Amino acid sequence: MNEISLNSLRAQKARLAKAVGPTGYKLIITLVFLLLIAVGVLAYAKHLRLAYFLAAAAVACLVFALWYKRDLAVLSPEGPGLNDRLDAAVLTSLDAKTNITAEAIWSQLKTNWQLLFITNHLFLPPENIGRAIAADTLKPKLIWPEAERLADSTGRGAIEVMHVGAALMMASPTLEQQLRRNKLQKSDIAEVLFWLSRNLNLSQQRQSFNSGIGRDWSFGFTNLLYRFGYNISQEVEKGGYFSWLTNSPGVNSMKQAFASGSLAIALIGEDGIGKTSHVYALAQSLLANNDRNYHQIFEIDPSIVVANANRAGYIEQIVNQLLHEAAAAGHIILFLDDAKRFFSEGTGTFDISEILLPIVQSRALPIILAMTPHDYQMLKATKPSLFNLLTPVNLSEPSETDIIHILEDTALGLEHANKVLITLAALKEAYRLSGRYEHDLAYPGKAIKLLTQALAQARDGVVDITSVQETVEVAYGVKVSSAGADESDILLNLEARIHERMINQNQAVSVVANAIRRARAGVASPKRPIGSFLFLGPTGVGKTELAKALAATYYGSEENIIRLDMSEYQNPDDVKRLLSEGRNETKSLILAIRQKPASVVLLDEIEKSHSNILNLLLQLLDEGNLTDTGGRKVSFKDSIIIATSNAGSTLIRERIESGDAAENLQPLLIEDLMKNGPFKPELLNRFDEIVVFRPLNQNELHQIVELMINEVNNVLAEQKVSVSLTDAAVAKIVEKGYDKALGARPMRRAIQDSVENVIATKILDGQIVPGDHLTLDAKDLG
Amino acid sequence: MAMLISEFFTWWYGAGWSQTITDLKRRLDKTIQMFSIPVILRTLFAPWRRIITPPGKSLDTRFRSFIDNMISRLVGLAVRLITLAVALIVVTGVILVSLLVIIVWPLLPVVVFVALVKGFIR
Repeated sequence: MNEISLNSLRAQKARLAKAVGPTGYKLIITLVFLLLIAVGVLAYAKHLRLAYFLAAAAVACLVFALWYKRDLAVLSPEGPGLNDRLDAAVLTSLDAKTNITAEAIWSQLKTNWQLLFITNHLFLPPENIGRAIAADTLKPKLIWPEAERLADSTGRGAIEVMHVGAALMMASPTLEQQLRRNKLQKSDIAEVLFWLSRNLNLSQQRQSFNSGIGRDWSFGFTNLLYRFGYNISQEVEKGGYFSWLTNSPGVNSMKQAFASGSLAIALIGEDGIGKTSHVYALAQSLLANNDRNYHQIFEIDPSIVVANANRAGYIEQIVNQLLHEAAAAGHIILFLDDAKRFFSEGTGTFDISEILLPIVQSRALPIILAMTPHDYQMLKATKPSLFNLLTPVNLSEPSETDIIHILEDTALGLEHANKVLITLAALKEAYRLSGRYEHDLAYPGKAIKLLTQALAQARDGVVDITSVQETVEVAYGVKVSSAGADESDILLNLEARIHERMINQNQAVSVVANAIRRARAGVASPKRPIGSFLFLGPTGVGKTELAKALAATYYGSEENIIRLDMSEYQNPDDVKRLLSEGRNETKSLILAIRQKPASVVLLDEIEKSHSNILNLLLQLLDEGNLTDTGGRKVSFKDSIIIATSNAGSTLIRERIESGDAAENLQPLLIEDLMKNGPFKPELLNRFDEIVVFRPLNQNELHQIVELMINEVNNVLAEQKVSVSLTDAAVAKIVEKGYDKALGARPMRRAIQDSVENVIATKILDGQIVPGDHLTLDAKDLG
Repeated sequence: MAMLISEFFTWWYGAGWSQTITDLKRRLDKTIQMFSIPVILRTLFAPWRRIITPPGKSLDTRFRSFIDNMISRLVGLAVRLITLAVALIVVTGVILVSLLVIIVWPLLPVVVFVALVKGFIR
């Protein structure tokens, strides 16, 4: 049956319940009390006839109140049929007198809180959805079976407003187009529906724990534990925490380990993976079990222990007493979070392994030590006897679906606490971008961290996809949002901007600019660096200058350049140095890119590096990431990779001198490099572009001198002094500053020697004062 | 309206009554849980809060620890017996009230009818 009946008995019950409402119920109960008092008074006064009538009224009201509370207000599903399962809100919102069209259904349900939850989290105005549904002239006959299916798949017995609304939205082709414009898809409607229904199911399952007044009488006192620790079980018992992790593999593994007699568990997982949440879930799981609800999980706080240890050896004394109190109590599970703090001497940390070892050996106390895989391996190396007594329980990162679910649940708490709305798209963006940029934490911690930070970027109380992107852009200095008007202007005029500081090399500038535009417009693969270029050409023709110009123009500052002289990486062992994760390694590319993911990576004289490093470059160009010595991946997807090489310079010079254009040299040069050069074909093929820089001609050298004089004037501007050169002076500097082997590289030195020294002397002599302009001729130059 | 009245009586003498009985059972379970009766019975003679004196080597210290531990057990027993006595009273009360509700439930609609008739014939 695909039609609904608004005149059914169930619909009448729903309308009656709505008419009474919670306020009506309270009034009836009050009336019952007042009537019973009146009955008593009348009976005492011997007005029995009236007393009987009022007694009949009181009992009738009581009976009706009971019916309302236990049946009408609940209106549970009464059978498998559509009309037996429709929720009261659906039955009472729809108008029985009007024709039931899809448009009418939406219009009558759209203000229900469940639908507002869905439309708000999709960030779609209900009016727009209504228009889309009206445009599609959907048939309600087709909507009801879909709503039934959604109710079944969300584990809800009743067909509620959210199911009907979601069914309408999912059936509308016009809305699908709107969703696409908002970077959403049809499955996102189902995602928000499942988000809401999962939380409704969870709140219905939420149980109160009552362990009873006599529970602790058979166990010892725990005064010290309360002083230096924190009772996790008590917090769970009070309702401060509720999770669906109780049946997760991690919690089950811990329960199995305890059940099989292991009393010391190493809970292993990267930071952010949820080790503490798993221990809370274990506490909840134990409390829910009536036979084991006496267990109390205590977390020791090392900072309180340290703060209270005012003399040498006192820490050991406190810890010893704590462990013995916990063991003697008989119902304590001790939890040492971030356990490395308990096995090393330092600020806020101390080593209790010697005290802990006999306790663990004698199996006197169940204990959970939370640590990262790295710390677990360190424990193996430093405390093997303790390590051998631990049962490892490894936590792995949840699946993408589970991470999104965790984010959804977290978002509800954040929304409530911060009075904001967090859209589904924002959650997915937090998942995506945290995976790309946050390397210090594991999922779900890293995504939760980013989402929490994004609250600061909320606009009009809404945390959306832009809020998350802006947070990432501020935190990591990368560009993740679509190009805005200002940036589009920069991108469209990239060549002109680069040429403000670079002379000619038009072809090189053009290919680089095109590659950058492709990347920012989203046309290039997002899984590789923004651009990768091999700059070929003789020394001093502008290869490094173009890299700097690109950093300044695209990333906003010349500081955003990571420059590695590859001649320093000539040995096979240098790979380790390049990929080192150690803070003390200054030549690590990994460390540099972690600090500045949005940078130009300039690999100077790449041909001089060891072949192992060239192989690494293959992976970098192909996959957009490298793996550090600790096994963690680091992304280069926001960087521009530029490798420079002098290989083929002789060929370039010969060909240019014989009249060939630089643009035509590329195929010849590639062939030459493959035959005679240090590069394998697979490496050359992986660069986005191989750019040939030709030697500079006289005219360009003159322009370079003028550019450099402009830079000198920029520096002098503070002193209100300016300088210009006659043509003869420029020619003299070009002559002095150009070298066939070094190109224009000595030019800066020549300017320094010939121009800057002269100006400095004149300023100190007082020959030029603020406001003066100095014109230097060839004879004036130093 | 007639359908609604008929529905009311069907619910009152069917699902409503059985649901009430289930709720009362749950209430009784909660009360037993509140007093930790199973735990108290299991540990009736256990020392109070695990306060025990470990036995020494000499006969004298062994005797003293035996006395100390006996006192601890007696304290525990006394507290638990008192709790059990209170629990017994409360649980009995809950059972009696529950029985009363179960018996009165089907009579309530009848009471309305009877009171009305009584009022009219007065």
